[in-house]
Amino acid sequence: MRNPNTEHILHRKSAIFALIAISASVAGNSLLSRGMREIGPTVSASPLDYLAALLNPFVAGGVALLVIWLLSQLSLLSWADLSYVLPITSTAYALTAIVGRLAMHDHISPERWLGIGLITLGAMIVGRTYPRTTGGDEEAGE
Amino acid sequence: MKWALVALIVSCNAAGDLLNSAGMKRHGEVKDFRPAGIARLVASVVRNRYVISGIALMGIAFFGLISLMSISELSFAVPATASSYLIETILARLVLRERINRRRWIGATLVTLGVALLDF
Repeated sequence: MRNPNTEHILHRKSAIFALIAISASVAGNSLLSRGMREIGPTVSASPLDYLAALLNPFVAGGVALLVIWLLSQLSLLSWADLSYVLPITSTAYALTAIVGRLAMHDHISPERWLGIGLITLGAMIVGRTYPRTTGGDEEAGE
Repeated sequence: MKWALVALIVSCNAAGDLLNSAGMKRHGEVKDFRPAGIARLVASVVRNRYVISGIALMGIAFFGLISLMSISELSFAVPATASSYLIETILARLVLRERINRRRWIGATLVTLGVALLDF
């Protein structure tokens, strides 16, 4: 039997960390994208070319935010299933798509809005399942 | 070139996510989020072989992604590399033995469809 109190705490903890991971990922990717466009095409086998990219403040800020993303993602994975974490943090993709379009003053097509809606709905459905199904607690869902 | 990078990013991300998840389950639930606790988390993560390999693979995916971003728009780069949701859910079941109930399958399918729509 699951303790309702533990369950509540696990859900709340997961929600907070998902929110941190999502915001850090959206802001980090947007900064990186802007920085990389300032630098110009970089497809290289040499790590030095990528280190040089860090001199751009947008790239540096983006990398710092992605470190925060990594730590919150790892914390989430320490208590929640990968199949729980992935769909929920995927809302970052929907938000990145919106931010990317808005930054370019571009129009968001109805198909994109539909995609954003489906991602959000999918994340909400998974968010209602119990975060962990392995390691002693064998039951998913409600 | 664009799609070769996408394939590299997707496979490294999937393998990286699986390794990170397996490694963090071995680490145990993170409970202390004060600065000292976060420092301890970082210290134990860098000694965790699963997580280190996972991060290395995600590092490769990351360099692939910034390369992709430099030759394409963000609105192509991010959605194109997000095509792995269903694959990773299947791998989570087969490799990590997670129990994926109907809600999770529905959710993962909706997310995959949603991401595919972002692509066009």
